[in-house]
Amino acid sequence: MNIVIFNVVSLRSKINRLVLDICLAFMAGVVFEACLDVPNFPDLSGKIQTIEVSVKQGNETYNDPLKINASEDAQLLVDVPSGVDRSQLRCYWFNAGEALDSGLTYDVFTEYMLSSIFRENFIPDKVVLVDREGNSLEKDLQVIVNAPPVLSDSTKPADGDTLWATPTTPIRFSWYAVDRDETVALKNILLVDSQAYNVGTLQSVQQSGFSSGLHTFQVVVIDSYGDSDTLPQRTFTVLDTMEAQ
Amino acid sequence: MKFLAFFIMLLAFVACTDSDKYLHSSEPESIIVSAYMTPSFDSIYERGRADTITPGDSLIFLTSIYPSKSVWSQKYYWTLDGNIFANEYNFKSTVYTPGTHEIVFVFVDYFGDTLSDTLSLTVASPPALDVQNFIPADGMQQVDPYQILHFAWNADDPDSIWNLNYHFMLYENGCDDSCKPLADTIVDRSTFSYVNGFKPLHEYSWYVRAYNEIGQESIEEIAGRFFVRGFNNESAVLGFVKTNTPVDVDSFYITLLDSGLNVVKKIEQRENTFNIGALAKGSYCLHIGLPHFPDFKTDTIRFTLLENQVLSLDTVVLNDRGVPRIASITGRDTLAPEDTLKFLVTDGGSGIDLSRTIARLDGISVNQMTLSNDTLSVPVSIPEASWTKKILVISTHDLSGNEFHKSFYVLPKTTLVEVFVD
Repeated sequence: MNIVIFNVVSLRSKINRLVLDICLAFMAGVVFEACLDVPNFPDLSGKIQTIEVSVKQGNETYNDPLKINASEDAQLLVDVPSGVDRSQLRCYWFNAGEALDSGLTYDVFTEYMLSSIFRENFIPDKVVLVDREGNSLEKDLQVIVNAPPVLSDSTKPADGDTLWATPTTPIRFSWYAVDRDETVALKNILLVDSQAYNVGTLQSVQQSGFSSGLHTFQVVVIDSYGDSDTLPQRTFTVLDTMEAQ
Repeated sequence: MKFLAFFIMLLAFVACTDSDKYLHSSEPESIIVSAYMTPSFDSIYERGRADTITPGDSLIFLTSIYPSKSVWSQKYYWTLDGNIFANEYNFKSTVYTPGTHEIVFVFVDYFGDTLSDTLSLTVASPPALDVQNFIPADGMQQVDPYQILHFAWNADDPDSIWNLNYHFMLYENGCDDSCKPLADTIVDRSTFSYVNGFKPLHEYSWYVRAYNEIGQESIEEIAGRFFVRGFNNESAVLGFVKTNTPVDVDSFYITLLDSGLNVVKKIEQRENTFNIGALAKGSYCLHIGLPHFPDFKTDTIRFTLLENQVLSLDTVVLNDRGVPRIASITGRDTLAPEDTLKFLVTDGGSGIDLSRTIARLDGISVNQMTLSNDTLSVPVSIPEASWTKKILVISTHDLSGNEFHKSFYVLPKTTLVEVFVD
């Protein structure tokens, strides 16, 4: 009878030890798992989420709006974020559904901007970007081709003119600027002896206050897109009527 | 058993308390928060919910909480455009960033409910005008009377966010107050063109003030004037006459002489502005006077006119240089003894009155004088028992400060013999 009781106790002890061993093994497994090199979350930084396009013209860059000064060559650029392998990207430029060119840049030559026909056919209206895995992104483009204002060489006073005047005599400054795209919004700035006068849309004003001697004037005309034309500086000489008398 | 006893005691306790007050009270009062701002606690400033300041101006932000600020709350704070601005009920601060800002007072009550009140604050700097450089330059001559004249000026919005408007005004100078401005308009660009032409040989003035979208006015004002040319190289001279002391002028005369002192023009007119044209170029001199106020004089004004010149003499001031005059009505300086002596007091300038006139008899002030028109009545008391002459000194000065003193001898009523015989 005593022997039986001993055996039951011994069995319980074994079961407990087994449970303990299983627990220890599980904990060791957990520790081992924790020591494994867990892979990082997939790096998405190299993927392009959106397309940004800008216009580069001279030293200026425009992206909102995409504006091109029609008198100078320009480039449309797809801005690739740093960290993205450019060599793995293919870029296509489209106009009215027809591919114009490929590459991350698109050259816009002044010839394309001479007439509306060229503009309608050679200025891209869509860009598509494709990566190595074949994923593609596209963006519709609205490129504004702006004809800059043009100042006529003919001015009053003409370069080198000599004028008789007292300090209160009005001298008329007049010039002429045209813009193929707009006529009313041109902003004119008259610089007389380096003093700027914002004369708005006026292209003829009278000013006085000129002492005897050499004076300069210059005109800058700016359109609503910020494109401008500047007249080279002109000089005129004032001879004082009173001094002459 | 113990439990039953405890329950009965609890019931008795509850029955004895005024529980209705707590269990069936009316609805709890709702909390109301309000926010205000004011430039100062000074009573002249009102508390408002919207205001406009210039960058750097300080404002006091205030809160009002109903039923009271002692209501339990979790937190309260102010935000400026969504960012934490302050953590106080009331505080003084400023905002420098130009633009219209939303300032919110947020109150989170004990139960976590959020209450708030919103203020609108606009921060802006007034527009700036270049008062030195504008078109046409100040004093321009020879403006064509029949051509469009263009005006242009430079203005700047220091904040670079507001649209500017300009109040442009154009006047003909020398016109009396009944004249309307030739132009009185608001323009949204810094130019104005006047197309209606001008009177030849006249002077005009123009003024510009700038306003931004929120109505702030420029501190500066552009003020310019120009002169319109005549025909055939004619010239003109113009100006404004005033006296150094205000008098009721009904007319004045102008005499213009050429270099040979020949009278070119002689004018008498009621207005105190003059415009003399058309004149040939040359040297001139001008005399201006007031017919009824001969004491007002000016030095002879000499000037030279160029061809097509409209010369503005600006303001010609006539100075009251004549002193008042005092004489007895008999014309003599030795006066018979009378109870009241009468004198003529006259002035050809700014005038005299009794308050500026004093009389002393042997050094003693004489009271109760009267002045009627130009007659001064001086009551004097000559003692009967006196045989000596008395000295009466009358002093007066006009409104311009020109002084005059005159002494008179007043004869005694009795002679020396009569006095001693009596």
